[in-house]
This record gives sequence, structure tokens and C-alpha cells, in this order.
Amino acid sequence: MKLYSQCGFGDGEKTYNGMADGTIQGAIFSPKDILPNKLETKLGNYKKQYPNNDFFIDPQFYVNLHAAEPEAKLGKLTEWPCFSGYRRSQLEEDRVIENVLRKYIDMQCKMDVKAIIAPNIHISRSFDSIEASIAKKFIKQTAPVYDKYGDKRKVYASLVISREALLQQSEFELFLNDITSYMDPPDGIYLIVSSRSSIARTDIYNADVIANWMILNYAFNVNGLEIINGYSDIISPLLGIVGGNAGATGWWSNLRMFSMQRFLPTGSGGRLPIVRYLSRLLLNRIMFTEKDSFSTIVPKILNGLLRDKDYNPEPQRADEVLQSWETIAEINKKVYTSDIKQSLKLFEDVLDEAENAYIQIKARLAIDTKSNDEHIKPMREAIKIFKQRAEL
Amino acid sequence: MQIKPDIDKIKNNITEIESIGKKLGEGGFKIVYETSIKGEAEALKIVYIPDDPMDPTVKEENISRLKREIKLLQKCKTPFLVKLGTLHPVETKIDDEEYIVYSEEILAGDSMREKIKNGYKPTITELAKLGICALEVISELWNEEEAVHRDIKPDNIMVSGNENRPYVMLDLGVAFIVGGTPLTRDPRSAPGTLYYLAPEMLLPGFRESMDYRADLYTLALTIYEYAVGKNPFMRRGDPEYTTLHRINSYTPEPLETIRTDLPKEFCEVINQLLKKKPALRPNLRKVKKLMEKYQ
Repeated sequence: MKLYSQCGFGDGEKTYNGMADGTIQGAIFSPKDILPNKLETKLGNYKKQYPNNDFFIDPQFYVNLHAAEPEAKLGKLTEWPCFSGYRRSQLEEDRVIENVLRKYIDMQCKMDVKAIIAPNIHISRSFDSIEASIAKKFIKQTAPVYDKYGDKRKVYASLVISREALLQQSEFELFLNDITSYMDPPDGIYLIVSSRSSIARTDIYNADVIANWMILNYAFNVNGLEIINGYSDIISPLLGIVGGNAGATGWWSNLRMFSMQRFLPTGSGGRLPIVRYLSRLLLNRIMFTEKDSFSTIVPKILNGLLRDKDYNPEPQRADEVLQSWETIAEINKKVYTSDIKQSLKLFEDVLDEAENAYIQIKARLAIDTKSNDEHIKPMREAIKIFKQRAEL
Repeated sequence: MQIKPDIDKIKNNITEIESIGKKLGEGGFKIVYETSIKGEAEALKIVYIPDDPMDPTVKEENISRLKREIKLLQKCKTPFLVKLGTLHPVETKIDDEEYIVYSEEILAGDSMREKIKNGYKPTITELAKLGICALEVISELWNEEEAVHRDIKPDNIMVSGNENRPYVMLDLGVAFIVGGTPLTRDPRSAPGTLYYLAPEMLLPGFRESMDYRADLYTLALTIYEYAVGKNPFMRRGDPEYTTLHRINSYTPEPLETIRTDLPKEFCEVINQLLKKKPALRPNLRKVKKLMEKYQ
């Protein structure tokens, strides 16, 4: 499975350095955070230096329905010629959907991207909704509209869904049944699962959410579609095992976990979070201060990888994401085999090791809420549910 | 066939029929004979039209359904689906019972069922060719008419020995058309052949979501049976509900463990097509690509 940089504000040299490390194989750019001409130049530079890496633009069309909100945080999105606000009722017309697809495909066709990512809206509540029906139309029309361009690159449809929608099993299955039935499907899917906020860890670390995220990857892969998982962070290896082609994560919490809050007004600015260390053993980020104390109890919580050196004694904020990419890439290598069942078993072994390590640490130390082991149970349960739903 | 007509009376009623020969096949409402029309050998299909004196719409529906089947056959251009003959549908009454009579081309070769009975073991090339032919039918039915064959099985496939039409599919009698009227009055009951029912057809309200992937499933089941000589859901003496339960929950033994000579990649796709949920089955494009690789 490939790993991409989920770009946002304040990239600096991070994506370059990740590619230099060889831990990421590309990037997904965010129009909210970069102007079209700047991105064009940037893409040119990246391609010169890393011609084999993959570069994409997330159209971020899912924000357009909120464009009319007075305090919407649209950033540079409004500077993109394809951008304009829409009402949901407008998108109920096929003609309007076609126009939107064309505008966003036009824009990307002019850029040096590996493949085109078509726009779509966010399914915020349920698969049994007008939003879901509009989203299906976007997916269905992506390939037929793109085929007229004669562009040789692949086209991906976007699918942006809330964790609430993923929790409604029968509606989810009907939706999946519909979108896998299209006779002229896109080449792939750019898949995003949204949480209510980018710090609500339990939103995503929920067995049913992860299991159905896995099912989407599995079903699309079985149907011959490629899957790029946006904002998949530490879930990426699980998604790769079941058929995902790529995962992505970035440097801010809102680039690791997707939430529409990123585009909506927030109460206060808040302070910068503490820099964390992603432990391969714990499958979690712990505060860099915890790293030292935990490692006296379980030395293997240290990854022993190249980027560990940046944490001695104190890491720079810009290095945090490089360490994350390095760790996720290592987990990918450890659990991925060509056999799904075997890979899932390997991941279960990884969860066992994490659980044992947490038991030892918890016996002697108090653990910060974000550093604790609440991710393990849902991941283990998700594998069990996935196997049953995937008929494995 | 429930109520068989007197063949001589059929011949007398329909003047185009020159002679009626041996019986070629028989179903619940249908019987097929060899016939000669304008000097050409054809297959004469005689379909019984049941009536319900309490509900006059039953007869109308049965007639319109048969007309729909014939219309489907007329519209489909693929050579891998049986063609209509020279006798256009004629409504006729024999001994107070109503029938519709028409002809189809007569196909040389054996039915796939016969080949299986005789213990024939097809090669990978033959299986892939079967896949290609059937996929063309499935694809045309869905793309042109939003129709699902719903009864793909060895009995409905002729192995012709003709390189241009190696496998020809028969019988659109229970074809499902999106938006069409149901074949049974009971909304929960699914027409088709028990051992070849796609699992989604056992769900209440299946007509709302069923699509061509039901045919991909039955095609895979047919390929599986042709390859190994046995339908994996069939057990002698089992009651119907046990079979239905098995269709819904039993995973057939992986094809590669029985036919170790077949490519693993091919077997994996057949196994995957036999998944209970349509969304977990590979799409037509992917299956076609694989079949083309091995044909």
C-alpha cells in the first residue's frame, strides 16, 4: 500500500522530506491551502525531482454546499476558477452535476497530476438521504463525463461519508450495492470518512465504522477499482490489507482525521498540540515525554527507525509527521501479504503485542487520554466484523 | 408440462407447421418439439397460458410476459442467445385450453447438462469461452433492456461445437425486467430454478435492487458445475428449505481445490462471483478481462 502526504496549511518542506525519506510515494493537495498557479509550479517541481511519485488534487467540492455560510473557512478555495457555491436542490439536477464534473475535470486536466479526482458532496447523515442520492449521481456520471475528454489518465470518483452514515448497516449495504453495480464505473475511488471533529478519536475508532471502511475498500478492489483513502492515518494498514491502494495522512490533527469542521467556524483558536511520537508497537501516538518513561518499562515501544533520532532529546514540530509516515510505512510492510486472511492474522498479532505492552505500562504509569489503548478493542472487533461481512 | 396439448390439433390449427417431430425438451408450462416450417428444421415452442376465472388479469399478464420474452429475443443481437424462428407467436385454443406457439432456431450440439452427465471435463479455454459468450448475453440484456436472465444453468446452455457460437444460451422465460410486472403473485417468491437461485433473490423485496450481478452469480455457478461436474448446493433428498438455507449461507469449496489444473486467478474470480452479496462480486468488466485472458 502506498502512503501519501495529506497536504494542508503549512507544508513547508515536510512533503519533500517525506519523499526524500522514501516513506511517502506522493501527495494529495488541498485547494483550500494553495492557489492554482502556485500549485502548478509546485507540481512541476515535485515531478522534476520525483517523477515516479503520485500527485493528486482533492477537489474539496464537499465544502461548496457550505459556501454561503457567512463564516465558512474557505481559504484559497474561492480563488480557484472552478469554485462556486451551490444549494443542495440545484444538485438534484443531472445537468448541474455534469457541469460541476466538467469544471473540476477541466481544472485538473491542465495540471500535472497522476489521475483526476472528480468532485462529490459530503454524505453527512445517512445513505438513505437526498445527499446520498446526489453523491451516487456524481459517482455514476464521473466516467461517462470524463471519457469525453480523451485524457489518458485515470479518473477517480470521490466518496465522502460521515461515520454516522457508516453506522446504519442496511442503508450502507444498499448504497454499496448500488454504487458497485454501475456498468461504466470510474477507475478508482477517493474515499474519505468524516468524523464530527478532528479530535474525536472515538468517532473513527469504532468497530462498525472501521469494519465498513474496510468493506468499502474490499468491495471496490474486488470490482477492479483502485482506492485512495484520504485522512486514513493509522487505519491505513488495515485498509491496505483488504484492498486499498493508498492511504494518506498529514501534519495537523485535521489532516489525520477528516471533519467538515475544518471548513466551518470554530469557537476559539486554541493552542498548538504537544508533539507526539507514533509507536509502531502501540499503534498510537504518545507524547514525546511519555516515550521516554514508557520505554523504560517496554523498550520496544521505540520503533528503532531512522526518524527516532529527531526525538532526542526534543523533536521539532515539522519532524513529527516524518516520524508518523515512517512508522505507518513500517506497519504496512509488517502486515501486508498477498493473502487477506494471513494479513489480517498478522494485524491481530500486532494488536496482541500492543495490548500486552499497554498492560505492562498501565501497571506502572498513568497514561494520557489520547495515548491510551482505547483504539485496540475497536480495531480487533472491526476485523471480526469485516471477516463476517466480507464472507471470508 | 401441466396440460399437454394434442400435437395433431396444434398442427391443424397452425398451417405454417409442416410436421412435428421428436420432443426436445419440457418445462412446467412449456414443451418443445422439432418441427419443419417452410422446409427448415426449427424448434417449436408450445407455451400453456394458465387462466384464473376469478381474476381475468392473470391470463393477460401471462400473455404479456411471454410477449416480453419474445420481444427480448427479437431485440438481442448477440449470437450467443438463441434466435427466433420463422413462426411468429400464434395464440391457439386446444380443448378449451389456451396456448401460444412460436418457433426458435434449432441448435446443433448437446446441452451442457448432457455433457456434465457424461462426465465431460472442460479445459480452461472452454470455460473461459463459455464465460465470454455468457457475459455478452448478460451485458446486452442489461444494457439494452435492463433485463436479468435469471435462469442461467447447464440445462439452458447449448454446447454447439461451432467455433463462432460455441455456447448458446436459451430460455428467457423467467427473465426479470426492471420496472416489469412480477412473474408470481407472491411478492416474496422468486421464480427460477431452485439450485440456481442467486442469494439476493431470496431476500424480500429483491425486485427493488436485483441487477445483472444475479446473472454473474449463476454464470459462475454454471462454470463451477461444468468444471467439477456437480452443483455445490445440490444434495439428493434435501428438502427445499435446506437447499435455500445452503444457498444463503454455505460457501462452496474453492474451485482450485477440486480442479487443481485450472489457473488460481481464474478460480479465485469464480469463487468471488459466488459471494452472497452482489457488491462483493467482481464487476462485468473485470470478469470479462479475465475470461479474455484465458480463452
